[in-house]
Amino acid sequence: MSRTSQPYLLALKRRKIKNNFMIGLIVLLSVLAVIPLFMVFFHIVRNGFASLNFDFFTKLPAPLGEPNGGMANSILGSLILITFASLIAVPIGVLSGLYLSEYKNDRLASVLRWTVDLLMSIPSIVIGLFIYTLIVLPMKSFSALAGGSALALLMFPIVAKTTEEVLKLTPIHIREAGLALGLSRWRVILFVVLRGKSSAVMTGVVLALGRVAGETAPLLVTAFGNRNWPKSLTEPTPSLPVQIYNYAISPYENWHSQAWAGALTLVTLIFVINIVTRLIFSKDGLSKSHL
Amino acid sequence: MKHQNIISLVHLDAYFGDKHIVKDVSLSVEEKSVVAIIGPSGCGKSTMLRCINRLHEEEPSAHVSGQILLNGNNILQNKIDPVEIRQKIGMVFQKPSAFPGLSIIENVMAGRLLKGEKKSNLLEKAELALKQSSLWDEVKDKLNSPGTSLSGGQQQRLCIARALAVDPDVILMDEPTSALDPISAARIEELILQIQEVTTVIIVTHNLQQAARVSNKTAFMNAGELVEFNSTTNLFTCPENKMTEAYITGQFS
Repeated sequence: MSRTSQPYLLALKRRKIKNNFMIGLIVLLSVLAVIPLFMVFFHIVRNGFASLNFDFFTKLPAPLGEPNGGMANSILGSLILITFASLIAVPIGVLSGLYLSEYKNDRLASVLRWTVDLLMSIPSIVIGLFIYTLIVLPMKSFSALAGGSALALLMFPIVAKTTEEVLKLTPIHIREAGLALGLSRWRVILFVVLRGKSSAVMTGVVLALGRVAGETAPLLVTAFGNRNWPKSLTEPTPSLPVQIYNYAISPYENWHSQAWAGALTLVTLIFVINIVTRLIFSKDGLSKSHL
Repeated sequence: MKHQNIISLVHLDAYFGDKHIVKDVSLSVEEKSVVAIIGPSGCGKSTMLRCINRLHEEEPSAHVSGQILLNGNNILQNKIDPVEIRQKIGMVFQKPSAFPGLSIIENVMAGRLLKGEKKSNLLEKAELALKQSSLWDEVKDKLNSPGTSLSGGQQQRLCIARALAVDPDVILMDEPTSALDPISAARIEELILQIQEVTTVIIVTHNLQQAARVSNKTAFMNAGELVEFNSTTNLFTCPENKMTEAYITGQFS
């Protein structure tokens, strides 16, 4: 069929129409997928922004009936819980992920992989109750220790799984090139494989952080909450999600608006952690800051 | 000038599980020469090469017997740490393998840098290695850019620089130009001829012309056996073995 013949041009036209239709469909569906995110964000900003002021970030919650007051203790409490959880879950998670990707046929690896998959599918409230019996009951107190441990248990499988998946993408010849240079295996794993994928591993960590920062159910039975400043790791500790939950189900109008402000703060916090980590661990940033 | 043998394979056999891949190969490589290994796909040339820096053993089912002498010492002895051997015998792979997350200059220094040596002590050596691999002029203004930002051909020269920077006695090359465009491949060939002054090169190649252009001696392997090992000129102009003749004249591949 010649390139100027009528049937050829017709077929070409039809193909172009089909192509444009499919592209349009993809764009439409992508926009649909993004809409909920913006709706949530818009809603939170609209309702929460009015209650955000300096007091909100610096003051304790006001007693019932008094105006103003803030959530400073919950913000600090959430930061403590997340930091505590990360200190446990990130090293163990990253090293487990490393083990899974580098020694994948090992017996221990298959047990570990199974554990990680199982942990990932356990509902967070069950994790909370587990920590409740393991830590809260023996200590006879809700605590940051318990809350942080519950969050760590939720973070660990996500960090391990994303690390494994990301490291598996490193081609075999990069590993061999490291070995062929006379580097021992652990140096190749740490300095070639892990470093090469550090920004992707950090993305997994941030993903896990974002996931647990908003967890409410396990904290209700572990960290519990507190209307004062968190003073030690062994005391009931306030956190943003629990505070938001308590305020949101209350019958008081000004608590509702504070809950919205809390939600806005929580979302912004996760957003900031995300951006800062990406900036620090972007490929160039890493090689400049670490060597 | 009389050269000494730097590497000798003595009755080398290599296996993957039950599969006998390299069969009783013996050959010697002179210091500061280039030896090419040619042969059809699957004839065991890459496996033989990977025995020399003991990378073959990294596969769980692999094992080796026979001797490989580096300066007269058998490096296949159990008490010898493969890590030490690989510091003396470098390798360049088929695919360019710049380490991700490291800058160009860090890539060149990687052999020592990742062992904990200070960057400032290695700069001079890295510059020399980049000059030896004729990459210096192209990268001297962007030494801190990521190594992976270079083109395939440049990355391959970076890998050669990285291998040279640890002062190896021998560099093994496993089809180093097969993933490159013809111009980049030609530059690598030039480079092989240049670095002969500082080190010994053993190169596995599918490209017979390349073997003829860069090597002093050529080994022809078939089905795991060494069929003929001769000076490159002799092997390509008047091969002693009928099978060699058939291969280089394209009667089988």
